[in-house]
Amino acid sequence: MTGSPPERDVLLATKLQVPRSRPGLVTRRRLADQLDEGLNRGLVLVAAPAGYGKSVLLSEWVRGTAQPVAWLSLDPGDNDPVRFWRHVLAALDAVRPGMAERLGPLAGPPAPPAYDALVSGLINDVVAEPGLPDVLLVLDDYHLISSVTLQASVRFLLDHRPPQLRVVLASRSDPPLGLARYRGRGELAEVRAADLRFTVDEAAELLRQVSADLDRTAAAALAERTEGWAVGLQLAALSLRTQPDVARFVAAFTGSHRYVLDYLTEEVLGQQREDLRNFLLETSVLERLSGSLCHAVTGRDDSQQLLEEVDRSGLFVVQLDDVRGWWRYHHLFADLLRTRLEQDPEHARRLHRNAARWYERQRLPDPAIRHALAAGEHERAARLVEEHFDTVFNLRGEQATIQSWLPALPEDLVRSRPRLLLAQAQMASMHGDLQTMEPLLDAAEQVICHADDEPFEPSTGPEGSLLVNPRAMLALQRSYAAQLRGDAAATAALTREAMEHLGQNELMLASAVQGFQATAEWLHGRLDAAAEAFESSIGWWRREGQVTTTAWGYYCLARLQRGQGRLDAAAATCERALAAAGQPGERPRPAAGPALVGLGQVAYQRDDLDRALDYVSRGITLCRQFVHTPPLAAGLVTLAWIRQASGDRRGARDAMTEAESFSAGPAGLLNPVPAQRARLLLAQGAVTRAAQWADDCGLGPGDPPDYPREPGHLVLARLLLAEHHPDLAVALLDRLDRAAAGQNRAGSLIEIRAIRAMALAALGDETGATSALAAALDSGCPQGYVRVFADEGPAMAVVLGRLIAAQRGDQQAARIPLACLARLQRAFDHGRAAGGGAAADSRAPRLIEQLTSRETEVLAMLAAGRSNQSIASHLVISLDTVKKHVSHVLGKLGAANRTEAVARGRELGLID
Amino acid sequence: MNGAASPADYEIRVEGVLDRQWTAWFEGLEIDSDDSQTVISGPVADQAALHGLLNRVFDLGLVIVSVRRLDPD
Repeated sequence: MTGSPPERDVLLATKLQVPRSRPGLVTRRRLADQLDEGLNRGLVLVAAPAGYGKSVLLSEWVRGTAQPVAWLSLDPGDNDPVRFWRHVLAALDAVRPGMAERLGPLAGPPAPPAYDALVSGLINDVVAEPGLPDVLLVLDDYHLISSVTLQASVRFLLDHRPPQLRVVLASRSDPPLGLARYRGRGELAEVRAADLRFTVDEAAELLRQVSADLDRTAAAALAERTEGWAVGLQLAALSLRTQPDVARFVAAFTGSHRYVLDYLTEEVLGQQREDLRNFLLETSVLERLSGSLCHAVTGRDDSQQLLEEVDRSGLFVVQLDDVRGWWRYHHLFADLLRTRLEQDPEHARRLHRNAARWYERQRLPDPAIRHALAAGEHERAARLVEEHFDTVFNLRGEQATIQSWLPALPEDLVRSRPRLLLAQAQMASMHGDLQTMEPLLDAAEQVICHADDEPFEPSTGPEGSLLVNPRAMLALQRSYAAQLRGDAAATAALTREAMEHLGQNELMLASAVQGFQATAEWLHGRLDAAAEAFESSIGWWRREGQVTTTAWGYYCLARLQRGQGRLDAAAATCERALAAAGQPGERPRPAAGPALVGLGQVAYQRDDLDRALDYVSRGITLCRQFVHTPPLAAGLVTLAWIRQASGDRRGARDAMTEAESFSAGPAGLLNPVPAQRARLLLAQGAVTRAAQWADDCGLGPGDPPDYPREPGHLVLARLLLAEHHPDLAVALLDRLDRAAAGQNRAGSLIEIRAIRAMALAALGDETGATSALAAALDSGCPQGYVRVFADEGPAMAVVLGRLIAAQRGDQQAARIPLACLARLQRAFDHGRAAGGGAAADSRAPRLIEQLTSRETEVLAMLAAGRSNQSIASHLVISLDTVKKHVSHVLGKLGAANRTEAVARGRELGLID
Repeated sequence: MNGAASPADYEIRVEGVLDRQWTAWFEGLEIDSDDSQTVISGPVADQAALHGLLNRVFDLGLVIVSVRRLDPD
């Protein structure tokens, strides 16, 4: 490793630098004044076509201002929202140190679906510390931005712009940012072409710098002919410098109608030495110029000196940094040169080829690909796209960038290259888009043998690359498609196939294979085997330092354990995941998000709604930045149920809708959101819509049990009850019960038996109903399951009431612990109080066992805040007796502590 | 059939005289000029391509006098 920074960082630095001033500039005080005044309004637009001197004006002005400036020169690559905002953060970092690091994660990967969070964070960071000076953000060449998503996010910034952040946009055209509103309110200042035109006096001043005795008439004539256009005047000034007969030149020029720039460029080029002229023409293919790059392109080893000479001659290069490392041509001048160069297309292509090679050696794929395409080297460009896909898409999440490269490649070329097809399939798979994915995989399979045609050197190295082994990748993609469909057998088979193709050192692929193997077991419903597989994979991923995959593994494991009916184990797993995701006291990282969601899900199931809400809220925030979206969707689903339980039906629907926006692919194990949504619809009484969903999914009462489809089948069972077909529901549930029992899936059994209890009750089989509920409670109670019962609503409350009555009446019957029943009772009561769902049922007793009068006394004293000792003294009983009473009170009220007991006692009207 | 996706022949008239070498800049369209104006004409694939073409005219700082779609006769 040499001491010089990677070219990438150097090029980024040039974008952030305020362009240097050039000699021979005319300071136009009136425009600087106009900008000063405009700054007071907070938003300034400088809009004029190319060559009017926008950048020059702004860079001069910015240099003269006292305010801290964040400058960003945009280029076509910045049309990718992820890149744009990263660069904006980098620019602002200069005036708000640390901002780039603080907010960087919000820019992904993965590319966030919307940028509101990022922009809000940016705004907050700008105003966070009071007493800091206001910030001026300058975005140059804004017309290059066309992405709709990006425009929307910039609009968001402007709409919420605080006074401490002033924004200046320089553009060749009026950007679609709703500026009319600001204009109307007097909050926008504009400098337009009419303002930027050189007046005769200003033109005279500029021209006199090169031709000291130019008379005013001549100056006026030139100003008029060029229409005050800055670039025209500058070219005219250049021509004047070595013009033998000034008068003749002025007469000829003003008398001609030839396109101004064309005429003048010819003049100027004609005046140069041949070697310099050729240098200008040849280097015009480049967007940026450095000595080394120009040498590679032109073959001239004196390129650095020539560049400096071009700069000194005022020939339209702009220096981009302080060390004479990088320049660029003024856009128009470059265009004019290029047109001449294109007279010899083969020559131009050779130059582009040389440039592509140089950029490739510097590991800068974007310009390398652009130049390769311009050189007509489509194969080379395709190879570059493939080799950099892993870095650009998987590591940096710059999806839009990849999508800008692909259309430039000829269609039949793309279809002949398996890695390009697999790359496209990978992008589609992130959205669960089977329709796009599968034809691409088929096409890749047709041409997979071509993968061996050339060597392949991925930018991430083989360890970090997915495309390095196309056969393995193809099998993995097909396996993923099978997972999306819930096809356990195919998943297992295809994953095995992928494994067979794996080569040495292909760690990223091996990682995926492990995860998919575990998923295959899961899809089969073999939860124990799946849990074991995940445990061992997690160990491997942790050792390899794969933070994201580890977090994902823990998340899946916790889900599995809930499926096994082991809430304690699931919570413990989430705690381990939190520990793995970072040290306590550190800023929480995105990898902690899924673990917090998992803890929230357990807390919710145990009816600990406040704690659940806290976990889930924190989890959702972090999950928004986590690479995989399912935990985010799961967090939002849990939030929906928390709100439903609290009576906020509207809020529940909103959260569920947002969850849907983050869920992808067909409903099933990998995408539980649609089934949850249908379940919520049912809980809110929207039976028809739930029925429609079940229909669309092709779910029917006669279906054989299939673990991935179980959530859907459980919704169907509830639906059948709602439509008054309890017999069909019971038949379906019996089949599901047998399948779940056979695989020891305790979590499923609790839910199945709970619904079965309601179905039997609807059939009039009261005894059967209470047995079924008792069976569910038997495994559910020790783990604290509450919501699985409470969420079923009043019908369940009725069955519970009968169970309690039966238990009271039959001393020999197996007893469900009192505390458990009381907890359930409390949850149902809160549901009634919150007014959620249908009308309350008054037949269910509110207290399972009444408090004795002594216990009521003790409760009243607890409410008064007395300690056990104080109660003992007051009632003249022993401390042990007090403790016994308190324990009974807690049990009968289903409370976990004295505070809850007091609250419950007040609810029930036992105390004031 | 007309519409945003259909190709058509267009004629763009600008102030100023451009010589023939500019045809490459305008993707092979014809360049015809009289004393003071130039007409850039030829087949354009669709509305998006027309938009791109107008941008190229705009980027040169040329003043657009008119844009006309030539109906086939």
